[in-house]
Amino acid sequence: MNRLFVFCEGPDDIRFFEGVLKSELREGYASVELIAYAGMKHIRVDGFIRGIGAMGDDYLMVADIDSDRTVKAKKNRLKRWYRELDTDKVIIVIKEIEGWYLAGLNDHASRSLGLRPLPGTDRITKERFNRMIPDHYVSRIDLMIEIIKRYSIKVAREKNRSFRFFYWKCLE
Amino acid sequence: MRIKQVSCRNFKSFSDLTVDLDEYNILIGTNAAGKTNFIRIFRFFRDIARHGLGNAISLQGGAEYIRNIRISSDVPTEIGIIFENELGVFSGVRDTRGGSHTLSFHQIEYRFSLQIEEGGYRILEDFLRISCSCTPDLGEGESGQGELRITHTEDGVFYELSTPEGIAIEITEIIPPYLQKNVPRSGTLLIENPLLVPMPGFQRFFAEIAIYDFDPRTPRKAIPLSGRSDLEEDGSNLAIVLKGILADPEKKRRLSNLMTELLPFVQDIDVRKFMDSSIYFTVTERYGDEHPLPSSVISDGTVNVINLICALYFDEKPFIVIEEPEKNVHPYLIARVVSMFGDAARNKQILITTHNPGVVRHADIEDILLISRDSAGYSIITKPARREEVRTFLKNEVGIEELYIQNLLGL
Ligand SMILES: Nc1ncnc2c1ncn2[C@@H]1O[C@H](COP(=O)(O)OP(=O)(O)O)[C@@H](O)[C@H]1O
Ligand SMILES: [Mg+2]
Repeated sequence: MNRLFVFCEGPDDIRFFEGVLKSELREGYASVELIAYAGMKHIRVDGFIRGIGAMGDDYLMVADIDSDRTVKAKKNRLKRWYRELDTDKVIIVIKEIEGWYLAGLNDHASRSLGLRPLPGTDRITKERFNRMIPDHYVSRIDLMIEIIKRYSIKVAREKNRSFRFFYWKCLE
Repeated sequence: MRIKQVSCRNFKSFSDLTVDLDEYNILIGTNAAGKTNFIRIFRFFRDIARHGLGNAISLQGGAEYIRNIRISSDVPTEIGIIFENELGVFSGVRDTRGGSHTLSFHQIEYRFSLQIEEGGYRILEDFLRISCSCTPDLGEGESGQGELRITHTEDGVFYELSTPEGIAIEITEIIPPYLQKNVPRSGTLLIENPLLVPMPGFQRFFAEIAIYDFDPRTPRKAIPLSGRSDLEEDGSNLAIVLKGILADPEKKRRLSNLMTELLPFVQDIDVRKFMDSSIYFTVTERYGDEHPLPSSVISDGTVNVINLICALYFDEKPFIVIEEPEKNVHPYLIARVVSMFGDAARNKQILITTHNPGVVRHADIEDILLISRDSAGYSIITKPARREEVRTFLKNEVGIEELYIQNLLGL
C-alpha cells in the first residue's frame, strides 16, 4: 500500500488536516503525511513532488483561493510556481481555511463556543474569523482546537461548497 | 498598552539608536550583534523601577560597562522610551475662568541621561512628558491636546502643564502643592519615586516588564511551595505557575489545547507535592503506559515549550520579551511556535530575539527587526521591510530566510 502526502500551507491547515481529515483520508493508504509548504522554495516543492512520484506514492496540495477570481486562475498560478505539479491534485479552499473550520459546527456547537451560527461559510476570510472570536478566548489557536473537537464533516459538506467538492473528490 | 519607541545613546554596543516597535517584533541578528544588549534597555528601566538606579546599574555589570567602552568617557549615556497607556482621567479640572474640563492621560515619553564617572554616576537629565486630551465638560467646545511635563534637576522637581489655546489650568489643579515640594533622594530617578509622579500606571508599567530567557534545566528541580507565583525569568518556578493554572478549569483546558498544538505526545500535565513543602511537575506521555514522569527526566524541548506557553498565554503582563524562544525546539515545530507568537500578540506586546533562520523563514517580513553592526562597529537596528532591495528580492521568490543566511537583509 502506498502513502498519501498532503501539502498544507501553514500551521492552521496542518492542524485542520491533522485533527479532522487525516483519519478519513487514511482509508486506502498506508499512512498520511503532512508537509507545510508555505515559505518553502519552489524548486524544493518540485523536488518533493518528483520524489513522491518516484516512490509510487500519492499527494494532494491544499491552497486558499486568495486574491484569484477563479479556481482555474489559482491552479494556473500554482502551476507556474511548481512545474511538477499535477493540477488535478490541487484542492482549493474558498475562501480560507478558517471557513472550513467554521463549516463543521452545527448551531448547537457554534453556540456552545460563543459563536453566532452561520448558514454558510463560503465567504469567511481570516480577518472575518478573527473578528468573530469571542472575548473570552485569549487564543485563536485554542478556539480552533475547540472547533475541531466538535467538528462534523457531514455539517461541513452542507455549509461550504469548496469543502463539499473536496469531500466528493477525495473522501466519497 | 504599547511601547511605541525606544532609544539610547552611548549604551553598551549602541552609539545612537531609535527603534519603533509594533505589537509583535522579531529581533534577528548573528551572535554578538547586540540582541541581548537591546533587551538590556528594557531590563534597565525595569530594574530601576523595581530596585532603584544604583542597584540597576550593578545588575548591568557596573557603571563602567553601561556606556560603550569605545566612546569617550565625557559623553553621557541616554535612554528613552515612548509608550501608550491609559494612565488615568482627571475630571472636573477647573480652568482659571471657572470652566470645567476632563483630562485623559494616554501617552508617556520618558528619558534620562547619566554621566558615568570614576566609581559612580551623575544624573544629567530626568524628564517625563505625559500627553493628554483635554475636553470641556459643558458646552460645545472642542477637545484639544495638552501635556504634563515633569523635569527633575539638581534644584528639584518642576511641573508644567500645557493646555489647548485659550484654556489656562493651574498646575495645582492636578498636582497638589504639597506633592510638588517632594524632593527625590540624590542619585535617584523619577521612575523610582512613586510620590513624584502621581499616576499609578507609570511606575507599574516599568516594574512589570517581563523578560524571559528559559533554562531547560532549572524547572526540573522540586522547588519550595512558597515561591513566586509569576513565572521567573529562567522558568525555574514553572511547577508553581502550573499549579495555579491547573487549579482553574478554564485555564487548564486552554493549557491542554495549546500543549496538544506543540507537543501532541503529551497526554497530561500535573503537579505533585514533595515532602510537604516542595513541588514538582509531571508529564504523562502517550508512548505506551500511563505512567506520569517527573520533571527531572523529561526532555529539554518539552520543558522549554511548557515555559513558552505559560509566558505567552498565562502571564498577565502587557509587554514580554523572550530571548531565543526556539531553543531545543525541533525544526518541524518552529512554524507552529512562530504562529503562536502572532496569536499571543493579539493580547500583549511581544518582542522575541533569535539568530535561528528557521524562525525567520516562518515570520512575516513586516514583523522583523534586523540587528547588525555598522562600519564603525556599533550595533544598529533596521527594518528590512522598508528596504527597496529586500522587497525586490522577495518579489523574485528569494525567501527572507535565504536573504538572512546570505547576510543580505541589511542591504
Ligand atoms: N559596554 C560595552 N561597550 C561596547 N561593546 C559592548 C559593551 N557591552 C557589550 N558589548 C558588545 O556586545 C557584544 C555582546 O552583545 P549581545 O547583545 O550579548 O549579543 P547577542 O546578539 O548575541 O545577544 C559583545 O561581544 C561586545 O562586543
Ligand atoms: Mg544574546
